[in-house]
Amino acid sequence: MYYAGTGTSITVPCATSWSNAATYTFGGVSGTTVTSATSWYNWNNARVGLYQQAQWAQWQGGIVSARTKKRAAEEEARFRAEAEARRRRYEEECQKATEARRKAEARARALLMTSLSPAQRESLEKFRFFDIEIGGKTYRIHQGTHGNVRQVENGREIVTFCAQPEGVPAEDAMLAQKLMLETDEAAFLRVANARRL
Amino acid sequence: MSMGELAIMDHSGDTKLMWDSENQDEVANARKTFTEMKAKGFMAYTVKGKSGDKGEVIREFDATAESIIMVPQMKGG
Repeated sequence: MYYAGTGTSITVPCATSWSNAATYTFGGVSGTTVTSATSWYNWNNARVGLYQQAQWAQWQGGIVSARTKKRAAEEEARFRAEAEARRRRYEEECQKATEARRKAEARARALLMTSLSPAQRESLEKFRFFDIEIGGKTYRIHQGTHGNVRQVENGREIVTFCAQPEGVPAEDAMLAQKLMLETDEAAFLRVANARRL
Repeated sequence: MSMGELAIMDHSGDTKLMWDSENQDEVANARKTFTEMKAKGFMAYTVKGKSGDKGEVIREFDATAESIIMVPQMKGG
Protein backbone atom coordinates (compact mmCIF):
# COMPACT_ATOMS: atom_id res chain seq x y z
CA MET A 1 0.00 0.00 0.00
CA TYR A 2 1.22 3.46 -0.86
CA TYR A 3 0.52 6.59 1.20
CA ALA A 4 1.24 10.08 -0.04
CA GLY A 5 1.78 13.19 2.08
CA THR A 6 2.62 16.84 1.46
CA GLY A 7 4.52 17.54 4.65
CA THR A 8 1.58 18.98 6.53
CA SER A 9 -0.91 16.29 5.82
CA ILE A 10 -0.94 12.66 5.00
CA THR A 11 -3.58 10.69 3.26
CA VAL A 12 -4.31 7.16 4.36
CA PRO A 13 -6.96 4.93 2.76
CA CYS A 14 -8.47 3.57 5.96
CA ALA A 15 -7.66 2.85 9.53
CA THR A 16 -7.74 -0.88 9.05
CA SER A 17 -4.86 -0.64 6.63
CA TRP A 18 -2.65 0.86 9.30
CA SER A 19 -2.04 -2.42 10.92
CA ASN A 20 -0.16 -3.51 7.86
CA ALA A 21 3.35 -2.49 7.03
CA ALA A 22 3.44 -0.18 4.04
CA THR A 23 5.62 2.08 2.02
CA TYR A 24 4.87 5.77 2.20
CA THR A 25 6.11 9.11 1.05
CA PHE A 26 5.95 11.91 3.56
CA GLY A 27 7.76 15.21 3.71
CA GLY A 28 9.95 14.23 0.82
CA VAL A 29 11.04 11.03 2.55
CA SER A 30 9.89 7.77 1.08
CA GLY A 31 10.52 4.06 1.15
CA THR A 32 10.07 3.62 4.90
CA THR A 33 8.03 0.77 6.18
CA VAL A 34 5.45 2.02 8.63
CA THR A 35 3.04 0.42 11.02
CA SER A 36 -0.18 1.77 12.41
CA ALA A 37 1.65 3.25 15.39
CA THR A 38 4.06 5.09 13.12
CA SER A 39 1.22 6.31 11.00
CA TRP A 40 -0.63 7.65 14.02
CA TYR A 41 2.46 9.44 15.14
CA ASN A 42 2.96 10.91 11.69
CA TRP A 43 -0.69 11.86 11.49
CA ASN A 44 -0.52 13.78 14.70
CA ASN A 45 2.69 15.43 13.68
CA ALA A 46 1.42 16.27 10.29
CA ARG A 47 -2.12 17.46 11.03
CA VAL A 48 -2.05 19.18 14.31
CA GLY A 49 1.08 18.08 16.09
CA LEU A 50 3.50 20.25 14.25
CA TYR A 51 1.62 23.44 14.98
CA GLN A 52 0.77 22.49 18.53
CA GLN A 53 4.26 21.32 19.27
CA ALA A 54 5.68 24.51 17.89
CA GLN A 55 3.27 26.53 19.99
CA TRP A 56 3.95 24.39 23.02
CA ALA A 57 7.69 24.75 22.57
CA GLN A 58 7.39 28.48 22.12
CA TRP A 59 5.17 28.82 25.15
CA GLN A 60 7.37 26.58 27.26
CA GLY A 61 10.45 28.31 25.94
CA GLY A 62 9.00 31.63 26.95
CA ILE A 63 8.20 30.37 30.42
CA VAL A 64 11.58 28.68 30.80
CA SER A 65 13.31 31.74 29.48
CA ALA A 66 11.40 33.98 31.89
CA ARG A 67 12.11 31.62 34.76
CA THR A 68 15.80 31.43 33.80
CA LYS A 69 15.98 35.19 33.54
CA LYS A 70 14.28 35.60 36.90
CA ARG A 71 16.62 33.06 38.50
CA ALA A 72 19.65 34.71 36.91
CA ALA A 73 18.48 38.12 38.11
CA GLU A 74 17.92 36.76 41.62
CA GLU A 75 21.35 35.12 41.64
CA GLU A 76 22.99 38.26 40.38
CA ALA A 77 21.22 40.28 43.08
CA ARG A 78 22.35 37.76 45.68
CA PHE A 79 25.95 37.84 44.40
CA ARG A 80 25.89 41.63 44.41
CA ALA A 81 24.53 41.70 47.97
CA GLU A 82 27.16 39.21 49.11
CA ALA A 83 29.92 41.16 47.38
CA GLU A 84 28.68 44.38 48.97
CA ALA A 85 28.57 42.69 52.40
CA ARG A 86 32.11 41.39 51.87
CA ARG A 87 33.28 44.84 50.79
CA ARG A 88 31.68 46.41 53.90
CA ARG A 89 33.22 43.78 56.18
CA TYR A 90 36.62 44.35 54.56
CA GLU A 91 36.28 48.13 54.99
CA GLU A 92 35.24 47.70 58.62
CA GLU A 93 38.20 45.42 59.25
CA CYS A 94 40.52 47.90 57.56
CA GLN A 95 39.09 50.71 59.66
CA LYS A 96 39.49 48.67 62.83
CA ALA A 97 43.06 47.73 61.86
CA THR A 98 43.89 51.36 61.08
CA GLU A 99 42.35 52.47 64.35
CA ALA A 100 44.25 49.78 66.27
CA ARG A 101 47.48 50.75 64.52
CA ARG A 102 46.97 54.42 65.36
CA LYS A 103 46.31 53.55 69.00
CA ALA A 104 49.39 51.31 69.07
CA GLU A 105 51.52 54.05 67.56
CA ALA A 106 50.16 56.58 70.04
CA ARG A 107 50.91 54.27 72.98
CA ALA A 108 54.38 53.50 71.66
CA ARG A 109 55.07 57.19 71.08
CA ALA A 110 53.95 58.05 74.62
CA LEU A 111 56.25 55.38 76.04
CA LEU A 112 59.17 56.59 73.92
CA MET A 113 58.57 60.23 74.88
CA THR A 114 58.71 59.44 78.59
CA SER A 115 62.13 57.86 78.00
CA LEU A 116 63.67 60.80 76.14
CA SER A 117 65.28 63.97 77.43
CA PRO A 118 63.60 67.28 76.53
CA ALA A 119 66.27 67.91 73.85
CA GLN A 120 65.73 64.46 72.34
CA ARG A 121 61.96 64.97 72.35
CA GLU A 122 62.33 68.31 70.60
CA SER A 123 64.67 66.80 68.01
CA LEU A 124 62.25 63.97 67.33
CA GLU A 125 59.37 66.43 66.90
CA LYS A 126 61.35 68.71 64.60
CA PHE A 127 63.59 66.36 62.64
CA ARG A 128 62.10 62.88 63.20
CA PHE A 129 65.31 61.62 64.84
CA PHE A 130 67.17 61.97 68.13
CA ASP A 131 70.80 61.43 69.08
CA ILE A 132 72.33 59.46 71.92
CA GLU A 133 75.93 59.56 73.14
CA ILE A 134 77.59 56.24 73.94
CA GLY A 135 81.26 56.17 74.98
CA GLY A 136 82.19 59.19 72.88
CA LYS A 137 80.24 57.96 69.86
CA THR A 138 77.05 59.50 68.59
CA TYR A 139 74.19 57.33 67.38
CA ARG A 140 71.22 58.84 65.61
CA ILE A 141 67.92 57.02 65.79
CA HIS A 142 65.59 58.00 62.98
CA GLN A 143 61.85 57.45 62.93
CA GLY A 144 61.44 53.91 61.64
CA THR A 145 62.22 50.30 62.37
CA HIS A 146 64.78 49.03 59.86
CA GLY A 147 68.15 50.57 59.06
CA ASN A 148 67.14 53.63 61.06
CA VAL A 149 70.11 53.70 63.47
CA ARG A 150 73.12 55.64 62.19
CA GLN A 151 76.53 56.39 63.61
CA VAL A 152 77.35 60.07 63.23
CA GLU A 153 80.83 61.53 62.93
CA ASN A 154 81.49 65.23 62.49
CA GLY A 155 77.84 65.75 61.70
CA ARG A 156 77.85 63.10 58.97
CA GLU A 157 76.10 59.75 59.12
CA ILE A 158 78.79 57.21 58.30
CA VAL A 159 77.32 53.80 59.20
CA THR A 160 73.75 52.49 59.20
CA PHE A 161 72.66 49.68 61.53
CA CYS A 162 69.69 47.42 61.21
CA ALA A 163 68.44 45.70 64.35
CA GLN A 164 64.95 45.79 65.81
CA PRO A 165 62.39 43.80 67.78
CA GLU A 166 59.68 42.26 65.61
CA GLY A 167 55.98 43.02 65.72
CA VAL A 168 56.04 46.37 67.49
CA PRO A 169 55.31 49.92 66.30
CA ALA A 170 58.20 52.09 65.09
CA GLU A 171 58.42 54.11 68.31
CA ASP A 172 58.73 50.92 70.36
CA ALA A 173 61.51 49.74 68.05
CA MET A 174 63.27 53.10 68.47
CA LEU A 175 63.03 52.86 72.26
CA ALA A 176 64.32 49.28 72.16
CA GLN A 177 67.28 50.41 70.04
CA LYS A 178 68.00 53.27 72.44
CA LEU A 179 67.84 51.03 75.52
CA MET A 180 70.04 48.34 74.01
CA LEU A 181 72.65 50.80 72.76
CA GLU A 182 72.77 52.51 76.16
CA THR A 183 73.04 49.30 78.17
CA ASP A 184 74.94 46.94 75.88
CA GLU A 185 76.37 48.64 72.81
CA ALA A 186 78.54 45.62 71.96
CA ALA A 187 75.50 43.31 71.92
CA PHE A 188 73.64 45.73 69.66
CA LEU A 189 76.57 45.88 67.24
CA ARG A 190 76.82 42.07 67.26
CA VAL A 191 73.15 41.67 66.37
CA ALA A 192 72.82 44.54 63.90
CA ASN A 193 73.59 44.39 60.21
CA ALA A 194 75.94 47.30 59.51
CA ARG A 195 76.56 49.12 56.26
CA ARG A 196 79.00 51.94 55.68
CA LEU A 197 77.41 54.94 54.00
CA MET B 1 53.32 52.61 99.31
CA SER B 2 54.97 52.86 95.90
CA MET B 3 53.53 51.93 92.55
CA GLY B 4 55.49 50.15 89.90
CA GLU B 5 54.70 49.79 86.22
CA LEU B 6 55.64 47.01 83.85
CA ALA B 7 55.32 47.90 80.14
CA ILE B 8 55.55 44.96 77.80
CA MET B 9 56.09 45.95 74.18
CA ASP B 10 53.80 44.26 71.70
CA HIS B 11 51.83 44.91 68.52
CA SER B 12 49.38 47.11 70.44
CA GLY B 13 52.19 49.43 71.52
CA ASP B 14 52.55 47.98 74.98
CA THR B 15 50.59 46.22 77.66
CA LYS B 16 50.96 47.79 81.07
CA LEU B 17 50.77 46.08 84.41
CA MET B 18 50.80 48.08 87.63
CA TRP B 19 51.60 46.85 91.06
CA ASP B 20 51.69 48.22 94.57
CA SER B 21 54.97 47.18 96.16
CA GLU B 22 53.15 46.52 99.46
CA ASN B 23 50.50 44.33 97.90
CA GLN B 24 51.92 40.82 97.79
CA ASP B 25 49.35 39.54 95.31
CA GLU B 26 50.05 42.33 92.84
CA VAL B 27 53.79 41.90 93.24
CA ALA B 28 53.48 38.14 92.73
CA ASN B 29 51.37 38.68 89.62
CA ALA B 30 53.87 41.18 88.19
CA ARG B 31 56.77 38.86 89.01
CA LYS B 32 55.01 35.95 87.30
CA THR B 33 54.40 38.02 84.16
CA PHE B 34 58.00 39.25 84.20
CA THR B 35 59.32 35.69 84.44
CA GLU B 36 57.06 34.50 81.62
CA MET B 37 58.22 37.28 79.33
CA LYS B 38 61.88 36.62 80.18
CA ALA B 39 61.33 32.97 79.29
CA LYS B 40 60.09 34.15 75.89
CA GLY B 41 63.36 35.98 75.31
CA PHE B 42 62.27 39.50 76.26
CA MET B 43 64.90 41.91 77.55
CA ALA B 44 64.02 43.87 80.68
CA TYR B 45 65.12 47.41 81.47
CA THR B 46 64.43 49.65 84.42
CA VAL B 47 63.96 53.30 83.59
CA LYS B 48 64.08 56.05 86.19
CA GLY B 49 62.33 59.36 85.84
CA LYS B 50 60.98 60.88 82.67
CA SER B 51 63.90 62.89 81.43
CA GLY B 52 65.71 60.43 79.19
CA ASP B 53 67.95 58.86 81.82
CA LYS B 54 69.73 55.74 80.65
CA GLY B 55 68.02 52.50 81.45
CA GLU B 56 69.54 49.50 83.17
CA VAL B 57 69.29 45.85 82.23
CA ILE B 58 67.68 43.67 84.90
CA ARG B 59 67.47 39.90 84.96
CA GLU B 60 65.27 39.48 88.01
CA PHE B 61 62.02 41.20 88.80
CA ASP B 62 62.52 44.26 90.99
CA ALA B 63 59.40 45.06 92.99
CA THR B 64 60.85 48.44 93.98
CA ALA B 65 61.41 49.57 90.39
CA GLU B 66 59.45 52.60 89.28
CA SER B 67 59.19 51.44 85.70
CA ILE B 68 60.22 48.29 83.87
CA ILE B 69 60.13 48.05 80.09
CA MET B 70 60.20 44.64 78.47
CA VAL B 71 61.40 44.43 74.89
CA PRO B 72 61.08 41.51 72.49
CA GLN B 73 64.35 40.00 71.36
CA MET B 74 66.32 42.19 68.94
CA LYS B 75 67.04 40.77 65.52
CA GLY B 76 69.33 41.97 62.79
CA GLY B 77 67.44 42.80 59.66
